[in-house]
Amino acid sequence: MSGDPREPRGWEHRFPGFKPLSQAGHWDQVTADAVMARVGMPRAAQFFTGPQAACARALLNLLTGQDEQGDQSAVPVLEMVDARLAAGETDGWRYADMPEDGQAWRDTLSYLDAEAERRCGTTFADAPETDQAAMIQAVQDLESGDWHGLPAKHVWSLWTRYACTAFYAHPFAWAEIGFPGPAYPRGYKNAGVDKLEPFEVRDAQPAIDPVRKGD
Amino acid sequence: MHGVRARNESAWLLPNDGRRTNHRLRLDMRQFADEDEVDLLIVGCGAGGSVLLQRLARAGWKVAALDAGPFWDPDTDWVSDEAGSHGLYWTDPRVIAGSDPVPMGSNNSGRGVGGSMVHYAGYTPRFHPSDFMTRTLDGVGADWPLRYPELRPYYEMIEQELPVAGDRWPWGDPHGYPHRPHPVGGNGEIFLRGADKLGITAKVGPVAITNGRFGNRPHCIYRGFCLQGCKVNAKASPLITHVPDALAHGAEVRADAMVTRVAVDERTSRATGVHYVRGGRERFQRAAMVAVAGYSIETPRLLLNSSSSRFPDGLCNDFDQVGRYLMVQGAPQTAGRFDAEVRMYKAPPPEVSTEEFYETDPARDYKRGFSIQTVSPLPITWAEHVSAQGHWGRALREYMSDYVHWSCLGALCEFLPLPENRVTLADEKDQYGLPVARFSYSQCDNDRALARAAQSVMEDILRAAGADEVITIQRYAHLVGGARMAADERLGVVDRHCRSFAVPNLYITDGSVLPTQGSANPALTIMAVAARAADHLIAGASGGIS
Repeated sequence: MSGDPREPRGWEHRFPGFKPLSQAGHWDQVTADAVMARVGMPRAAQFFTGPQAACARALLNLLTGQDEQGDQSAVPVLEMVDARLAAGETDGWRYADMPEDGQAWRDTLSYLDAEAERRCGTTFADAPETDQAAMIQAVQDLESGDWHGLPAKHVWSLWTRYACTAFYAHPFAWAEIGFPGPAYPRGYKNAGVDKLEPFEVRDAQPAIDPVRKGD
Repeated sequence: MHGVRARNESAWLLPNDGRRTNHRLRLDMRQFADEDEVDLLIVGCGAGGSVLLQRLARAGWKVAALDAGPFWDPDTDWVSDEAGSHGLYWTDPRVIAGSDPVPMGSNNSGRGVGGSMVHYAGYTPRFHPSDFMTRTLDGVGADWPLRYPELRPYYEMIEQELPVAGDRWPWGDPHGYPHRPHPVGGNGEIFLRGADKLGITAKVGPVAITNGRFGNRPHCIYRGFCLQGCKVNAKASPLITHVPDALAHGAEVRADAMVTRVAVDERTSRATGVHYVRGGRERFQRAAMVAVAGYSIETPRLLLNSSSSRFPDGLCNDFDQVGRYLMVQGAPQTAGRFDAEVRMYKAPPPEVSTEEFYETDPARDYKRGFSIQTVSPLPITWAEHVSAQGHWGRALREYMSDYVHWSCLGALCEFLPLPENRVTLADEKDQYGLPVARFSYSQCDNDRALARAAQSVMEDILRAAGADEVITIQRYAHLVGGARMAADERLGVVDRHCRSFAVPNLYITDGSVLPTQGSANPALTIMAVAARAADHLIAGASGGIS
């Protein structure tokens, strides 16, 4: 049922051969330009300083489950977040008990470095991954509690909002979730349960169901 | 359709050659000089402002609308992409506070000509007759200084102008729609299946999306990006439903013009025009009357920023009413997991609704109610759902890989208007040096009970449809109130015709005048209220025109 046994298994491979970018010829030019700019993003930070960028890269890769080392299909989350902050593209609001977004990013990265220094004697970026994960898990676990004078849940909200917005804006991320991306001017002709367009790929491992597994 | 075209030709003024904007109409647009005293100056070109503009231009008034954002061209300014649509939202700084702070931006705040209807889903239900008298009927909320039958003819007119597609509507004041219901996608199918199993009536619509050609607007292509601005011109927004006709009748739309202050003559207490910034330059447009239509955050903020010796606490704020009773709907979204592929991103997110739970049920321990609709989040928004369950890193990615198997419903719960839910001015300043809005919001017990009940019904529907798992995220939707209409000046800011109590030639014609919100998406009602105010002005009951 689940296809060729030689196909790679695991949730990274649920949509074999599906590449949203292969459909870019069907996108309107303005949209295609916006999406392609993410794919070819230069590896450089404008908003963050060098040490901040290193810390932010480690944090954002952890939050999005990425290991960029030699990964050709990695999403440039740090660069995308940095570009947003450099352009002042906030969500249009901030919590009254948080600084504005740019400052909140700089502040919270410095707190992560301070924690890593105390815990591992290194920067956050240079700390072992298990320690990095433990440090950010601690922030999530604090929930409404205080983290360096800020409400931990608002820090968590800031980090995850920026991380997810960047990651799931990228066609590499769409590929692993089966989402074809832009749909203008083509639109869809086969909407409905279990109906596919010719350019969509059926889930090859529908039994993965991470929610059931998670219980 | 001839009846519609005779009173609003917008859809026929759009090009029919595949482009979405009539550039000639914009190039030929009338332009008033700052020194010209226009008959009416409108602040904000969204749902309320655009309808008022179009009606008064048709009636021969010299009328201009200033908007802080751009004059959009869907072909070149909008993208079929979630992250790339950031420019559609009002993202100037705002501070949110209270025990249940409400995120702004993409959720509820528009920018540019067309307002937040550019990125609303497209649902256009009417309010129910009960919404206009909740204090009398249920002992909560407020009574409007007008009743449903007074708004009904305006609902009918606007539904034809958008136009709205949907099943015959059995709830509230039962009525039909000018366009037939759209076919549904996977998410709509799931909702209809689950509701049917439980004996809950659910209907397709009502959505302001063309089903068939309407003038030169084409049929919807079911692309699913309604919340990113409709590049097709199928989903209605004032940019295509009212602005073209207004321009053709001599109105001016002055985009990229941020109004900073409404000027009032200290001696006569009458509005004389507005101060605004355009291209980095401070300017002043004279006007015989002013209508503010900046929506529930910017309208109160503008009034508060327009203080003077006559109005030391803010314009029209003699009785401390400005900014109060600001409402948001509780909007929990519950998603269900199916072994089949739902692919909810295909077809417009607004598909199917039920208003079975809209009215107060005496058997329940809460007042008022909720509606349920399909919502169909795209990947970035869906990641918020998954992230809200606590997942991050590889676990988040694995959950996200399951996207095509999920169906998602959203509730709109009628959270009650409370005086302390309000806009005030923060210490922080924006790019124009003006204090930004601080919006404080806290729920009451009735609100929390409603959200729980709505979640439980959504879970039941999804499980009845075959979902093996359900997850819920708590959120808010829409804004109304903040400068409400009332019987007198101690209870509100404007009268039943949207005229401010304090300044006889100052009107407010946007969602901020609504005293209650029902469980309905507010766009249609905001337009209907503005159309009614326009008729009142045209009938000559104003103090503005000499």
